[in-house]
Amino acid sequence: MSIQRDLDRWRAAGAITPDQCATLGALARRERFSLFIELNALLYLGVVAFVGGVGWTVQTYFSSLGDAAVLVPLTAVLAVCGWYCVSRAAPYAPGQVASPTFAFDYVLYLACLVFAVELGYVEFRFHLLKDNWDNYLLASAIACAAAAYRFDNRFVMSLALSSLAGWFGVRFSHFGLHLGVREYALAYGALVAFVGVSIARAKIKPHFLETYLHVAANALFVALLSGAMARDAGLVWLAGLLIASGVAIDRGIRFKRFAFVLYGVIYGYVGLSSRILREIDGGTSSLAYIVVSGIVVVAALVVVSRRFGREE
Amino acid sequence: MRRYTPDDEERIRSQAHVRAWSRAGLLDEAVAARLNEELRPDLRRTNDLLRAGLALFTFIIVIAAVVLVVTTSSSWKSGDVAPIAGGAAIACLAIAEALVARFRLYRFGVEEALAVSGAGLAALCAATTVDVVRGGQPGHAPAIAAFTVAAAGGFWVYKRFGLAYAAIGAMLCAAAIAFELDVSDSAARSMAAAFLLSAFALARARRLSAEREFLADECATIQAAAWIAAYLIMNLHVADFVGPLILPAPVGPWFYWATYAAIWLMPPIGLALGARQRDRDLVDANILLALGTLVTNKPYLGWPRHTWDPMLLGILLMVVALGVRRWLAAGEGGARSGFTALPLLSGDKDVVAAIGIASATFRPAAPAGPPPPESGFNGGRSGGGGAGAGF
Repeated sequence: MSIQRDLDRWRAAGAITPDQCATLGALARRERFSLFIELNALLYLGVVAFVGGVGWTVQTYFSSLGDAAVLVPLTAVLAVCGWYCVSRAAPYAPGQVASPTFAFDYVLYLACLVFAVELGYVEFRFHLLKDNWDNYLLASAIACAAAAYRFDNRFVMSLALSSLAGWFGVRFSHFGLHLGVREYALAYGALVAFVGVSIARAKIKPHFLETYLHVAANALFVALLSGAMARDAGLVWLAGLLIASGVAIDRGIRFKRFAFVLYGVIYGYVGLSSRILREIDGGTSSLAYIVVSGIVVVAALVVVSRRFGREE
Repeated sequence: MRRYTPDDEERIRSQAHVRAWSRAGLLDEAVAARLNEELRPDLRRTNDLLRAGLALFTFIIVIAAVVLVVTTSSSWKSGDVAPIAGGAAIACLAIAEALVARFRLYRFGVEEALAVSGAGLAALCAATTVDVVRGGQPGHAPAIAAFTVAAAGGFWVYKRFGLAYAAIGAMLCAAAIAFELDVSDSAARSMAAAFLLSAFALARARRLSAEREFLADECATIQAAAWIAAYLIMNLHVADFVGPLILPAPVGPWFYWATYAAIWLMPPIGLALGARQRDRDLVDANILLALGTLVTNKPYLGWPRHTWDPMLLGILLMVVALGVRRWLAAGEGGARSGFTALPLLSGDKDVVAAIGIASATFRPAAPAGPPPPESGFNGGRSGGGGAGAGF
């Protein structure tokens, strides 16, 4: 086993201690094998499947079941989950707080999902908010965000952001934008980015920043790309897209977050190319453009890779 | 045969270990940096995300260039396409070789995309050549030729560049040949599954006997992929979940129930094999397959689906996860036979954090149902988890 040979050599040279050598050797030989990821994934899928089934059942049978038969069990689940979280939660701290129990994060996630289903059902049946019915999404987002910060839960934070997206009218689930909602998506993306950066700068749960930025970047880029590709839209959308791409690439390189470099390159390339290809007459020229522009992008990515993205 | 020396590949593997140990706090950062420097091979590598971007744009360039040459110099007839595809395949492979030889690229995106494109273009060349030889008559021969050459090409790319996914592609192409033969669907599935299980056995044997750890890792990935593919071919109701992409042909009752037995037997067997060798790829693959079996059980038996089925599945998954975790935690030192529910490296926590971020996009929503009796919730947007627009 070559890694064991390396470990023995490093131990002999004094680079690592005998204890370290034993620990690392055991890990390399898989004498200790963690099922942490698998068990977390099963719990997550379990919660998602359960709530999906709840929503489907409520949707299908609410008329025959009656309101009490829907609301009482949902409230009971919510109450039990809420009690579990409150009774076991560690005190609030602005930094990262480890989950007190293995299931804690998923119990809270389940509670928030059930809360959202129940809130939606109440509004659907009783029209408490009347014309402002969509504010239940905002309430849901605020409640989830509060829970996410109190209990330090990334799943619930993501849920808060997607609920907020619903309130903004962004239909992420369909992977596209309808004409007229671009502005909402832009406003949403800008707000999420601003809030995320502001809260992180205040050193309150700074590890949530990446969640904010991924969601914000995709919302902004999809909105800008949609505008840049629309025939009736002005060049301002393309300009905005290119500026956003530049910022994403620059920040991504600076902070070694290469997902943002890719966002900038791909969204920017697609937006710019769609505009250029619209002006190019003929298939041959279009293909030549794709070849040449592709080579330019590859060359640029190679430079970025060599200067900033080395894996060594 | 391989473009990289075994020592270089072992060094890269050791570097990955050192990085993971350093991030987990098991190694001092300064020590890790020194060991990393000591292990550094004479190869140029890049970040995984940039690698994906480089591969994507290289594929775009190759496809656009081939289409450009075809449209400018000839027509789309098979006789014209074949030499261009053949020439392009040779060019792609030659450039990939040159990039590795000249710039020492390793998993850099560009050279691997070129190598894979070369295999794909060789398959296109074979299909169009056979089509020309047959005078354009309809039949399966061009597809068989394409799959055969793609399988051979993919395997060559694996042997040459060490890309496990090329070997997996080659294996799938070889299995697909069975579906192009003039045999019944049952026979085609049986042949394909038998081939894939043979590939699994071969990869497993090589994994167990490999002297080099990087080779064992490659074989572990290939064997898990072969196992998954064999399962998917045997599970006749997977098509229910991928829609019209796969339309299952009618099969006899004996074959139907044999596949039913197979989809129940494969996950536990695979899990046992994976657990015995501490093989994460195989363990994870069989957890997924077990889920597949649970989800397709009712369609197999012809039982009606109910809206509460996902709830029951969810409860089962949660109970299993918590039960296994509890059982492991009750063992000595929080482990049983070396298996633990605790994270050992920080990468474990990173994966869970990534699922948390991704859950913003893949949140659960109630399936769309019949329209509600009155408006009020019809315009429901996404978000608010679980509360779909269908209420």
